[in-house]
Amino acid sequence: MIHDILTCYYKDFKFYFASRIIYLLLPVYIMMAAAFTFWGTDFYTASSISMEQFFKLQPLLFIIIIPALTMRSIADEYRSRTLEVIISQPIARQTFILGKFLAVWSVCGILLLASCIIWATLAYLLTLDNFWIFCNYISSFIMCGTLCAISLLAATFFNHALGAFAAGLGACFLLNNVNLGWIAGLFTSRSLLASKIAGSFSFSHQYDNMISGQIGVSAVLYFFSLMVAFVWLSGAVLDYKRR
Amino acid sequence: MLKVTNLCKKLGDRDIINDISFSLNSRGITALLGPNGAGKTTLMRLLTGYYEADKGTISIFGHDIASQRRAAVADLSYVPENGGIYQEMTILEYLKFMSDIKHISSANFFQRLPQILSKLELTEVLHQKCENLSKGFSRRVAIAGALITQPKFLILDEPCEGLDVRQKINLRAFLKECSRTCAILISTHIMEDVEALAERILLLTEGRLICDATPRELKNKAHQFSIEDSFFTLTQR
Repeated sequence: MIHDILTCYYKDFKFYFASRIIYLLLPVYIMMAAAFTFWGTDFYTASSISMEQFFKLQPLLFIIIIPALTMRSIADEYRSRTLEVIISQPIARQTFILGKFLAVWSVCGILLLASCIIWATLAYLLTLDNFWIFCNYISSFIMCGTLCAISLLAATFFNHALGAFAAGLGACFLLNNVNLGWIAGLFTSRSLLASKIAGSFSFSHQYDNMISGQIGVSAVLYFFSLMVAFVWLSGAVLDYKRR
Repeated sequence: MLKVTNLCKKLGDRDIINDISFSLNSRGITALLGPNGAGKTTLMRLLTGYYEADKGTISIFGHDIASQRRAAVADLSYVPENGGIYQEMTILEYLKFMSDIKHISSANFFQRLPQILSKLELTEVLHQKCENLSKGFSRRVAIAGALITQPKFLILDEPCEGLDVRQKINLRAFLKECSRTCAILISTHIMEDVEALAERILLLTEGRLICDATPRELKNKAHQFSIEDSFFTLTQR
């Protein structure tokens, strides 16, 4: 099982370098992250310098970047008919999807790692809370994993890259922006508690909590359970398409 | 080795495969023939486990593909028509990936590699990316990927498509050699391939198996002298 996952993982991970996608996305991501951090906010007028804005904007950046990474992941397998070859191998569909998921998550890790140049620049010039920044990098990486999983799930429904990108973008946007508290409020208008509980299950709420303080077990569990669910569902969708 | 019983498959509202039953021995080459839309590709996809059958069973080496898919396809290799290779990989990377996914050890892989490369004339392009290859080379890479795993059951969809005459002759000879140790099922529209390779013919029309015979029996049945004419006569009915 581990051997199969690693074989699929290496194949997909190499794909991002061989197809040069990463070389295009890396500078775009760094420039956008730097632009948002330094010029899009009150960075120069704030009383204390931090990377708070950088981390707050991470979901917004990855909502665009991750669907661009996952859009060819399944669509290319259909187009080149390699999916037929892979499915005829003695590996489970979930294993195949898990390899793809880990590959795209690793690429997100590389992008985040490259953005450390912003951290290094600021740390050289100013005094920063480096532990807090490190924790937030971990939080951002975990958040990326969930976006990768839902984007991959959306991509499994489509045989064309453009459709997969649009679906991934929509799915990531909805996951990040849907306020479950507000939706719960529509159905249980008198119960503030219900809205509050439902609201705490919102993606943005969990991420904001993670980057505002230390990484909590509940938030980590929340993001990882979503990842497992979306990856499993992606395999199930591929399985369903056989019928 | 392969036993197909009362196989049915619908795609949308259309019956693509309609109550097909046949079996294959563990050696030899069988040609799967039929006009366009007869259900050849769907049948091959069912045999590889890509599609799930609506009715009927497929048993490969005694393993039911519906309930024991991984065991059933463990010794099976499939080459789809027009593709089946990763364009961004080099040939060596692709062949290594195919052997890794079948759990072939590196020692076995490198032992088998020179023979496959020389038989399919791929030695000189081993480090080239698949995206830079011509159609004929791509076809041979796909076949090499299937053969590197030493399958006991090989399914090939249009194996000689895009090959020049010399390559076709070489590939046919190599497939003949392979068929001494493994069962090969070929779907093709090239009747020369059928004449040269097939020991048995399965003829499909509109999702039904209308003939399961040796080339000689097929010609006798159609009262024709060539497989091409026999194919034409039998599929007209």
